[in-house]
Amino acid sequence: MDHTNSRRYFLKTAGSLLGAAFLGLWGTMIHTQRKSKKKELIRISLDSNGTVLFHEDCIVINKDQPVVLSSYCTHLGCRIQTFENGQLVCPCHGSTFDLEGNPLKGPAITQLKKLDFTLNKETQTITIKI
Amino acid sequence: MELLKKIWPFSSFGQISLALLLICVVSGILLAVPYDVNDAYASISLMMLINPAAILFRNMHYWSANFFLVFSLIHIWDHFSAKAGIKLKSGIWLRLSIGVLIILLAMLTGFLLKADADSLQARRILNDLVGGIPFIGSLLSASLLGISDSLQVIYVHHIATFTLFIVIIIMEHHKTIWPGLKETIWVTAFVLVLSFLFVAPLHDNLNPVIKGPWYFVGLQEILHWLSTPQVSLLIVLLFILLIFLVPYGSPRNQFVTKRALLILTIIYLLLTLTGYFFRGPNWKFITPANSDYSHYIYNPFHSNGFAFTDYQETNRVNTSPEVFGRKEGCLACHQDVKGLSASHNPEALGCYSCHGGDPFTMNKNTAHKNMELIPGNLTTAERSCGTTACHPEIVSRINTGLMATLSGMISVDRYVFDEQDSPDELTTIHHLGNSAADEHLRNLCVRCHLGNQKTETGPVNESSRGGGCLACHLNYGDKSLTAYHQHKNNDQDTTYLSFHPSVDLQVTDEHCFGCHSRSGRISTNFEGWHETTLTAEETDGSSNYRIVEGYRVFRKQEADVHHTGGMECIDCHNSYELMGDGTLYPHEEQQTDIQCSDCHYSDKPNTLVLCEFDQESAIINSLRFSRADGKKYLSTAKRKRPLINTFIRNDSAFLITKNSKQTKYMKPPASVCSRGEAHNDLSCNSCHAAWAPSCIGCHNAYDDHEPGYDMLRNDFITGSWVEYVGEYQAHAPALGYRENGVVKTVIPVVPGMILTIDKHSYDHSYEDTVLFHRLYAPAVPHTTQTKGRSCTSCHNNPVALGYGQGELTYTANEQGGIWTFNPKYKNSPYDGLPEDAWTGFLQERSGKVSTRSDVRPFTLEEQKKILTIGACLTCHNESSEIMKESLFDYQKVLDSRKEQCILPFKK
Repeated sequence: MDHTNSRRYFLKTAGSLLGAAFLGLWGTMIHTQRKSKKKELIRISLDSNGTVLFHEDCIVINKDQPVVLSSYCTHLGCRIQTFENGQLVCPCHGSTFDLEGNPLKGPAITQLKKLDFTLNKETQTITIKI
Repeated sequence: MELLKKIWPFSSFGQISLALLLICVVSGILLAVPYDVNDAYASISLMMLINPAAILFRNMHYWSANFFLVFSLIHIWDHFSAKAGIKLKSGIWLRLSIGVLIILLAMLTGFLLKADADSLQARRILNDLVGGIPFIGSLLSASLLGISDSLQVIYVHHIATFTLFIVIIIMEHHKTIWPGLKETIWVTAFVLVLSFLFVAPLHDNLNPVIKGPWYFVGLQEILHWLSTPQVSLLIVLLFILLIFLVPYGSPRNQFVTKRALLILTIIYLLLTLTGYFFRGPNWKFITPANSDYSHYIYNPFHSNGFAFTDYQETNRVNTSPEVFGRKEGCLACHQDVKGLSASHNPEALGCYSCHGGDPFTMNKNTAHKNMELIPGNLTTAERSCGTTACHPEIVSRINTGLMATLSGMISVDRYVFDEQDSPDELTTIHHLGNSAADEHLRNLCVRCHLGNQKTETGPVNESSRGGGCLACHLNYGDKSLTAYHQHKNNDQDTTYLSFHPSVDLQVTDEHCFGCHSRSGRISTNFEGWHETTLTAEETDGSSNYRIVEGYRVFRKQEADVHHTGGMECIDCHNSYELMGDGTLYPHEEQQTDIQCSDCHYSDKPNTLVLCEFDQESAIINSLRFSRADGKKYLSTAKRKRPLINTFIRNDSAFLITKNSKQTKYMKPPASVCSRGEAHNDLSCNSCHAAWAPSCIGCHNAYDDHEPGYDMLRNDFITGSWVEYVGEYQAHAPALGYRENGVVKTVIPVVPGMILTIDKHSYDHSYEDTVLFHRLYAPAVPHTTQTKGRSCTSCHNNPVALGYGQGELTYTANEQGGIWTFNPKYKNSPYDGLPEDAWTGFLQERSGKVSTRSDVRPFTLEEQKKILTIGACLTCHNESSEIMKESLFDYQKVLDSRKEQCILPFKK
């Protein structure tokens, strides 16, 4: 008997198809939900002082040419919220970064992600969309 | 072993695990009532404050879950060791092996649900790790942790998905979920006792140490060393795989697998111990020798302060503000505390962030246990003022400042005791031993350092020494001071609890006074007071005298022009000079950044605009003054730091006093300062310091029976060094040279260390002679006057030249001119020089002459030059044209002198 006519083959194929459909639906659901997540706007007054501000998702180095870095450590995503001896320090595993986001000490080996922002010179405001 | 089996009341470890699971499920269901998934951390803190039964259920939930994990693993191992082996179908065994992972996930989600600082970081890590799994990582992380910040999905998995899976595999394996009655009773009793004694951990959201749950701390340690963290997932999978593989293969293979599992487990346990007990903030290595060890390592484990609160207390907790995302018991009792500045508002910071204790209890004793009544001392500043959310930058460098190290003081003292070859070595008070010099320092000098603990409440006054951050930043207002005195007079008066002193930037001269009214006495000099050897009874009680600390008598002198102008110490000195800048300096002149010429500049000023400020200066500037974009500020020439209270307007420099906010015009140097080139090497102070205090001829001896005090240990002792002081004087300072390479600068100096030391009296092994030293010290007297010294006060003054007091006379006749000097004091038997001299009249001195290796008296040639002008000044008025001309071309004036002009030193 041709094995493609067997019950087992049918169940396997049907199961796989259903599984794939389920996976597709699962992915679609998550993807749609992700898209529907509202973007958060963070507005900060430009103070030109080089102040390092820590927000939940980003770190702002507030100077004339501001730098906005992701607060997620590139090693494992821990929130970086400490500025010590001129360096950003990850509290979980001890990675350090400079104020441009470059890794100085491991375990992290990649640069902190630089986030886009808009700078309104008139209102002296930095706006970041997270 | 037989005996153990007899008294061991349980049939198997599996039964214990079942009992633990039952307790865990029941306590978890009950815990769901006070727990609020939408405000998780605050709801846990709330139950810890007002709901003792909920605390007990939480503790039971925590301990039963943890022991369920442990006993489940032991149960598996027990099966591995059983002679019969594991006789389960491979499918069931696979699901049981995966069950270990599910138990870990159930516990991990429980860890995440407390939503404290540890949990929030763990959630991000888990999201990153799972998200990194190829193809389906993103789906898995979203499905496991959710997409928003809400804990809803995690909560569902914790109470349903993982719990159900665990229950199903137990049913499949054991056919029943119910444990035996005996096991349940024993285990419940055990968990109850444990829950009563040890509280489930909760992070205070301030402690900088971030750690995962104990069973993942080993993994955290591994991750610290791994730049590719996804490897850690493989380690977990390997562990599960090894468990699964144990029953299969030949007996030898089984043995190897079991051994591999055992070795891996032991290694993991060692890593766990390392991570748990030897990792501090930022995962840095820490040992119990660190003074903050227990704070960093045991902090999440709060005391079990079971306290049943009444309606009023509950209400107070409910109406108290949330700080750092949680409720804090302190604020429920200490409501409406007034007096603190906006920066330290208790509604934002709470009490715990400064004072410690336990924020998660309403039991008064437990709440106050280990609390810091006086925070800010340097031993504890790292966990109060210096905590992550506050001032870690400053606290991490404050110990490098001279006010904390006392390097110069220690180094010079060891130098005069012949214990050190150079007075300029870097030293620190933390390495003070018990040598003669160090004991001398302990007995007489080292009370004045920032690290000296403030141990009593109360305002900073002229007797205050040290106190860490509070030494400068503590201010009592009228109400807090009145309340403080009321409490001092009557223990029962608790008004003081409602009126907190302020901790702010109002650093006044009174804060500096306690320490700086001693030694160089710059605080008293600045205010125009000179210390005498009079007793209080010997004064006439007039305003010409001031009694300090009840017994030290000061006589009125000229105050510094900056003081009479309304300025205070901090109007010149910046935060980096006062709190260290991260570099260790041997002496104060190296640490000091400000120079007279930074404000009183003659050519172009050094300036900065706001956007060029360093962060600290910018923040202080914004706190003290309103923003002023485009404004030009002066900066220091030495380290390019902004002088935040200065500005340039219309090419003139102005200063705003930091506390009183008065605007002052800052004059450029007078034309006389730069007239000609004759005085280019003079520092501003050498002319403008009107007077400096000096003391000569003190003797130091150790007395075994003298009641003394160890200023480092703050302890009374018997046996002390005693200083027998000589005479205190105030006059225009002597002058000398500081030579740094090719740069030579004339600076004021005072007889800092003309003394004898009976070292034998302390250390009898030392040869029976008395040490004698004649060292002058460079000084910045802080007695600045607008008008500089006259020409004669230097050129015709034996004190200025370093000869000491006396009569310096010039006689000229046909044979030539002769300078003679008749000293006021007798010659010392030790070196034949007058008691107060630095150098002999028309003699040279070198070697050990100063408290710095780069400071020296005038050489013979230099003395001759000065005295030659001095000879001219005996006839010519210093304002005369010829004297002014000599400033431009001295040689020309000499060459064109008249016959009756008789100069000294001509053969």
